[in-house]
Amino acid sequence: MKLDVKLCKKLREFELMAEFSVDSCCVGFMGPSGSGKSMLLKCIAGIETPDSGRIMLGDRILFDSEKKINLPPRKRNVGYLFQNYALFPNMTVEKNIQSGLKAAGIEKKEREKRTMQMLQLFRLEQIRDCKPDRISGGQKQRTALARMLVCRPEAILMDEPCSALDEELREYLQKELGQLLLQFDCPSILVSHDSNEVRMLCKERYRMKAGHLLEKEKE
Amino acid sequence: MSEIDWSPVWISLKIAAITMVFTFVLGLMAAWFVYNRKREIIKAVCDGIFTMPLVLPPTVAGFFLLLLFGVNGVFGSTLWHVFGIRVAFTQIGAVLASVVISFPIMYRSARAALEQVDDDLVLAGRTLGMSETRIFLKVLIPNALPGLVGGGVLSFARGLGEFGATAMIAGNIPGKTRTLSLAVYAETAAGDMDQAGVYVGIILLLCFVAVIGMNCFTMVKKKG
Repeated sequence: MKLDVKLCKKLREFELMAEFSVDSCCVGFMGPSGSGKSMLLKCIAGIETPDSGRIMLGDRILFDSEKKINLPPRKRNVGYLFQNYALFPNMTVEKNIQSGLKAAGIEKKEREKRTMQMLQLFRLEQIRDCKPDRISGGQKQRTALARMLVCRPEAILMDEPCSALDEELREYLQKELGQLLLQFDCPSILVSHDSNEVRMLCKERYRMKAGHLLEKEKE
Repeated sequence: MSEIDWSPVWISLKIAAITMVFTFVLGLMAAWFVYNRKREIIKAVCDGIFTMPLVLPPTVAGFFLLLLFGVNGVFGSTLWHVFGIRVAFTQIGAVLASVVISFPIMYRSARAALEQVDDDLVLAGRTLGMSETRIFLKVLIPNALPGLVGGGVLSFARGLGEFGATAMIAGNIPGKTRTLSLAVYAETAAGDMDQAGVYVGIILLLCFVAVIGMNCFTMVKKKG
């Protein structure tokens, strides 16, 4: 699977211009806040619409300004990890994880099987019946990851996945996140203002400034 | 003191309860509609239209209702000749007037409640493949519930106290469309301050209980 992105979007202070492709590995974007990193992710997820360009995932066209194609987010099958995890406060950990599966019309047995797998993989069995306001930052992150991955997305987007965590925990959870990401080989993009985090989790990195991709680093 | 006529109490409660159901659903749908508009100008225009009954004098709303639903009105004559339903000077008219007048309160409460739900929750729902209707039912409504209940209670109280538009379209027929607030007016006009005082007391009590009940609900909800 390969994610090809080429897009332009005029923002208030600068123009976001990006052209890159991601194979089955994690590519990182780093840059100060307000450099267009989150907007880039939102365009790929379909939450925001670019002015022009083309976004391809495998052989599926997610967006093409010339062909006037713009798939809504729910048809893109792209997972998005929000900065504050955006867990549904009214649902338990288990219901949060199941929320996307029900929408996809997957039958009950399969839903339960997949949820169980995720609860085990992310060590969430103990807290499956807790609401999000009762669990720790690390548990929230794992629940959000589980909720995203249980839908089997074809690409993963992560917006500052560790910035909502306490300092002492952050390094430990960054390592853990890196381990987990290895198990899912699909194109993934990680965005962070913390360049250490990006260096640790991504082999391929871009630096971003005022909407432009600067030099590419590769290990 | 003469025998108290209890009929205005039952008529009022009945009309206010039916009103609340209609207003809750209509106000919530209108709020969701405006919430989903992307262009600010369309939001502003829709908001203006939906808020009109709140800022207009109720008699003006009643005037329009008579024009539309009166016996010779556009809808009124059709309803009467085709379905045999009479709106003017019936309890249907009283419900209609109450719904129109209390609608903006529910609409505004519901819109505020929907808008205070974290946008990321809606976006998360979308990236997880949920349809807009599903997001509305499973994410927006549960997380906006205290605000929605508050709007429902306020529209119940407003429906209970509706006077101007009700008098215009439903009249003031004792035992039929005379609600508590109309009864207060009628008894006062007739000089029977004791009777009017009893009705005033009942209205005070009902509204007080409704609002306290709403606050208790919000309190319990917050404690979770």
